[in-house]
Amino acid sequence: VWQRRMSHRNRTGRQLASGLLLLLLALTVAASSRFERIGVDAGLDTSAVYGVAQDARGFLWVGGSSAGVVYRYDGTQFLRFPLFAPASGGIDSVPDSGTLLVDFDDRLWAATWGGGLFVLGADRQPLHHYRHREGDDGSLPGDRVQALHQDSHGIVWAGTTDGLARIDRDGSLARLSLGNTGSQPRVWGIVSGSDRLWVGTSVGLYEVGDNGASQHLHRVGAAGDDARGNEIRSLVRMPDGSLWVGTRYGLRHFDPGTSRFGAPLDVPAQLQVNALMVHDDQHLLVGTQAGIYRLAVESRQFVPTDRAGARLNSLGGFDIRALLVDRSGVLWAGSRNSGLFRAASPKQFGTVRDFLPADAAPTDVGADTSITALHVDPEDVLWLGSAEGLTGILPGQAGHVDIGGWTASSCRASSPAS
Amino acid sequence: VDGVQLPGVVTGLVTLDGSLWIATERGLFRRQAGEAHASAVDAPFRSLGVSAPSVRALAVDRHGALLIGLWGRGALRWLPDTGHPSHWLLDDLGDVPGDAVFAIAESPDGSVWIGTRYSGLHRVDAHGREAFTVDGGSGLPSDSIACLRFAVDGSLLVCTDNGVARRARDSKTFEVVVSGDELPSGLVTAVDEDSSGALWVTTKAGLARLVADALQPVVFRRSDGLPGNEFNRSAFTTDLNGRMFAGTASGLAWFDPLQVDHNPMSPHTAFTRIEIDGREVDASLHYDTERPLKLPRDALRVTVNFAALDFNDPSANRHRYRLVGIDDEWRLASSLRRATYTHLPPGDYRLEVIGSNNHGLWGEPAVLHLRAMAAWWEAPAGQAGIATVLLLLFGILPLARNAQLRRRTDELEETVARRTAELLERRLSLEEAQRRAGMGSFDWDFASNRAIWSAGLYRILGVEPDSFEPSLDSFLAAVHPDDRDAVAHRLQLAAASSTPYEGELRLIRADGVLRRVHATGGVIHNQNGRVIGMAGTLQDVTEQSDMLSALRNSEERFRSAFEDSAVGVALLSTQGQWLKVNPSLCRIVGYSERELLSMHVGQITAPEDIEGDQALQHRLLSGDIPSYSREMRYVRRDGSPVWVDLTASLVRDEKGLPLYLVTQTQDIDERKRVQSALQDTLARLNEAQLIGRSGDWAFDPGSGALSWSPSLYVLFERDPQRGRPTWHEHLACFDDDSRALLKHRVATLLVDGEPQEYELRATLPSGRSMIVHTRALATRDNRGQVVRVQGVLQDVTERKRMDAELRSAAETDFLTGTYNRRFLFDAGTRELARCRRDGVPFSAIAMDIDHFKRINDRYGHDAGDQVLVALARRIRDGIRGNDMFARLGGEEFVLLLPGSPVATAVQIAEKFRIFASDIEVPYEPAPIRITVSFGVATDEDGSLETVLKRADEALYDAKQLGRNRVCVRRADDVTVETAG
Repeated sequence: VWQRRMSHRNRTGRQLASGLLLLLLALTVAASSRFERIGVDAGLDTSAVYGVAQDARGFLWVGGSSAGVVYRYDGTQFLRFPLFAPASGGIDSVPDSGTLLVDFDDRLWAATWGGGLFVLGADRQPLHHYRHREGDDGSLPGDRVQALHQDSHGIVWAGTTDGLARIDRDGSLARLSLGNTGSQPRVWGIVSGSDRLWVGTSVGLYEVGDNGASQHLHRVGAAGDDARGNEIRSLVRMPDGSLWVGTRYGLRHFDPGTSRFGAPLDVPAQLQVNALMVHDDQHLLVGTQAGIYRLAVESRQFVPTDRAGARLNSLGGFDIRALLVDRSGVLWAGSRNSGLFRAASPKQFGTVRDFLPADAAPTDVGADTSITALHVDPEDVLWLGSAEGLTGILPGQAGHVDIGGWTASSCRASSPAS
Repeated sequence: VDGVQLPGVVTGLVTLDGSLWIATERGLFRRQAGEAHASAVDAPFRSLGVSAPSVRALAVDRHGALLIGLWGRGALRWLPDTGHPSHWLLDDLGDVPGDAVFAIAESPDGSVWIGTRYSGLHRVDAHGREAFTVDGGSGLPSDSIACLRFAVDGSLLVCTDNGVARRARDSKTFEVVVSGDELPSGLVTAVDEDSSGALWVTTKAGLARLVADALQPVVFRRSDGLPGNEFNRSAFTTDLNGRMFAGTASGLAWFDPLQVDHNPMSPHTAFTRIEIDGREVDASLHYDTERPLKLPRDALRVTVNFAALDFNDPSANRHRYRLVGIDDEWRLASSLRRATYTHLPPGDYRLEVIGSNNHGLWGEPAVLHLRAMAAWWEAPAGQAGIATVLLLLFGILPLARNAQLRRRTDELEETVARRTAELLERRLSLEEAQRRAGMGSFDWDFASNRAIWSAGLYRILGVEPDSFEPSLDSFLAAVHPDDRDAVAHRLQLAAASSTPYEGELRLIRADGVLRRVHATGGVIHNQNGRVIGMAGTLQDVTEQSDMLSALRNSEERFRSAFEDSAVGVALLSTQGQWLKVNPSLCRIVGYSERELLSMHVGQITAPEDIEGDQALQHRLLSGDIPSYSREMRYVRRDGSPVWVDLTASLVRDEKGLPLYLVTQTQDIDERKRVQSALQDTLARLNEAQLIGRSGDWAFDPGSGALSWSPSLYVLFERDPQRGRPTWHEHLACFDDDSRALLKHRVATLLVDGEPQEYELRATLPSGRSMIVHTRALATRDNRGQVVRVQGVLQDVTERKRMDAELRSAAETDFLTGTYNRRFLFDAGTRELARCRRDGVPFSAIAMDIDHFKRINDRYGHDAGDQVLVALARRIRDGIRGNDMFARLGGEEFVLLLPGSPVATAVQIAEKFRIFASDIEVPYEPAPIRITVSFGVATDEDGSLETVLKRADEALYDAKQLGRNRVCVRRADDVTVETAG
């Protein structure tokens, strides 16, 4: 695809482009060793994925299309479910779909960027469509919806670029003003605790209690800092009640007891953190503009993603916008420009290559030939018989299967014995 | 560490006396420690009179003897360097071509077990005497053995081509540990135990792990990191660290069995799409509910798509389904993941579907309740309903009639209101037209001498409608005094003679300005034919008249223009004589000026155009039209036709009487030729598009204009009279999903410029559904702006339908639940090819119920059907996982036996012959009993058809020999009846 695209571009920067191509290729290959990209071939004809959710039935839902649809994935194909009525547009662009929420009643909430908020019923046809109407406080504060959250009372909170709204279970909508000023901040993320709501906004972290009567704004930096330094783009609440927040410039911990932000973590210090997810009890997955990092919560150290310990991120070339571990334990990552990724199953089986020196050409010992007989002799030599003869190798203690991968270990039996 | 070249494929390896012993397909070899080469060992085979036989199994017993399995020559035990081998099974294996010893192992009690390719399992006791052969009653699932392994507890594990069996140490019989159905392939190639007691089974299609108390094996495939799915026979070993090594066709696989994880989540299975006769129904209505999906009585087919929603490796998920009430046995779904049932008889059914995850763990069934409806008049409620309806009908009819009358009144009122609105609208537009043309109209009623004037007429006269009373007198008062009498006279004349009036006159407006007007009028008659008034129009022609006189004043300039004009210009008398012609016209028609001036225009007009031209001239002369233009043909002096564009106008004298015509003639011959060729091409294209049910469209993003080729109007059933569709109308032709896709694709095209190809579904006004395949591309101007989007589309509905029909042709025979003929040939051909590749035999059994026609005649067709069902069930219960059983039609069935040699096939046929004779179909007073004849054949390098034909020939011979027997077609085309 890249080569084809290149041929359409002018040829002046060709050398630069081919260098870039190699770099990208390297990145892609590195990424694909653990992740599989799911794209147009499977029917997902969008390159932007802002939302991934799984419904009660187990279907996976993907939002982000520019065609005003959400996609349903059943393992084989993506089916398109239109949000907008056909009459509402000609060739003009339809608002993008974005973040998604499956509520307690298995209804699917689909946010759009410019077209308000949709609620899809059991048949996944639009049931309600919330929009912004000028001067109507019972309408969305803005049509660009970028955060959705359902709290333990069943209230759905919708964060827009122009403020926050709550939608009660009866469907009624009310705006909740943040701060005293009239102009409302852009809302990026919402989580709820037992008695309060945490709202990540463009001006900092709002702590909202008593249905909005009590509000406190926690700023990341000191007042007067770069305004965007306070921008909180994602947040997640840990079992101990503390928060991790993704800012425009890295990841910070927030302790509600002291109302203090922790020091910025070394990595990814300057990266925009767009998505956060508690992976198992011990890890936090951090979706950034340069891939996914995994933080060991206890030690606050990032876990390397390769055996050598050199690399801390996966999908490093991609701007990650959505994360989900589905009920079959698979990690999904939505990216802004490159569609959807699925973490590949962990590799549990080795090949003959594991026993060869790094510089050996695998063809020398017939790594891919059909092995018709095997025998381990008393000297622990492994004999491989094939149509080409016999090869002896000494596996010794060396070689081990790299069983890394994004498995949710809590969902898996660790060994056959268990 | 080492490498040794050998002449054939290595089939077995053991260590003995510090040497490595190597079994190959070209003999036995020995490599002594420290030596670089292996040397051939012939000693054990000398007594057999062969050298370098194909060795297929190799083991060592407790006495340090080699146990050797051979191709076609039994097995032997040989203590190296003693020179006295013992031979076993020499005779047994010679009978079946291709038979071989594939596995050999010593049991803890010192006896030796020998597994053969086709002839089952044999035991040789500790004294070297052949003790017994395992037969069908022992519980072994197949006679084809690939490996033997003694477990830690001393039990014997046997790999067969239909799963793994185990014989406990003290038991006489075998139990199936895992059947072929539960494994990725029934063809098991090796088995071993890990230190936790779990069994690892390699097969031709993947690796499986069995844990003692687990219900299902866990299956691993390439997606888990294995180099390949096809494991080789007996290439499986464990090292001192407990690591396992297995040989696949794509290289070595190794793993630490205690470290291998699996996905323990049993997936939920969902219905992803339900179709009745190709029309989708909302699947969400039938989730987790008892509410049945109703199949209308005329529904032919219901198709249910499903998916196990586990996303670890969805391509490895498997699905099974069954229709409780019709077919209670689970069927493995194909990769299409759907079940199709046709012609379900009325009744309630339960479709159950289960799915497995990537590691073979099955989830709970998803259930869909189906209700095939009886015709309503067949149901008792329906009949009661008919009676009720008839009663009600008489009561309701008058009411309905009233309602209908009311409705029609409403419709009428609505029509009147609509027409009134239309009339008003037309009047307004007429007035607007009059205003633009400087025209006005009047309607004059003689009886009242009152006139109705249009707004335009007031305007021409420069008076206000409010302050002016229109009448003949008030009109005449405004006419120029010089013209007034003449006008009055001509009006009276027109009224008296009922002839139309036309002429020019001068008016003096209220503001004193003189205007020239052209007036036309005519009388109005009442129903009895009496003249009751007059109506007409007046047009202000002051400006035109001024221009004409100005033209007359510049006659000189006119002449110059006339002579030098590039177009043909001529003056023509009202009778059609040329009065004056310019050189260009002479050039066009090839006549000299002198010649033309002596001619009549009709003489150079093509005969087919004369009539039309005269008609137009007549209208011109009568003042109907001020001028006309037409494309027509003149005939040149040399007789050839020439296309011209003729414009003619009339020049009148000051009194308004016609003087002569001015014509302008342009040679458009070339243009016309090109046009005609183009039209011809377009017509052909249109015809071709109509035949091919295709068409094209073009969209201009700038103006939003869309055009369709004529064929599209036909395809989309749109009346061309409605004019060009708008883009929105174009979109509206398609169904919701398609519309969104089209919008998206065109938007992508506008941005990317890459040609787009896609398929759309449309529901036509007639209700027909159409699928079109479209290819769209964009044309850009030199600045890169998209100026045009074009698309070609073709109706592929029929092709799709045929494709779908082909695909969805049910795999199963509805009556018996066996495979049908089509599936048998498809799957059987594949299976035959696979057997050839694996070097395993392939046999077929053809069977036919004896005297079936008599059963039908005597007991009726229902009983006949029951016999077929009973036989099919009995046989299906008795076949192995890989066998394929199908009903070819009528009472003919076929059973394909991949991997079975002819001897096994005969045994199976004989077994079924006996089974069949046990069948009793209940019937009063005595149950129906049947016998069945069988024909057996095995593959001899022919096609599936050939195998079946040979089996059929054997069947025919069985019938000829008196029925209820098994006959075999041998390779030499001789049929042999087997001992029953």
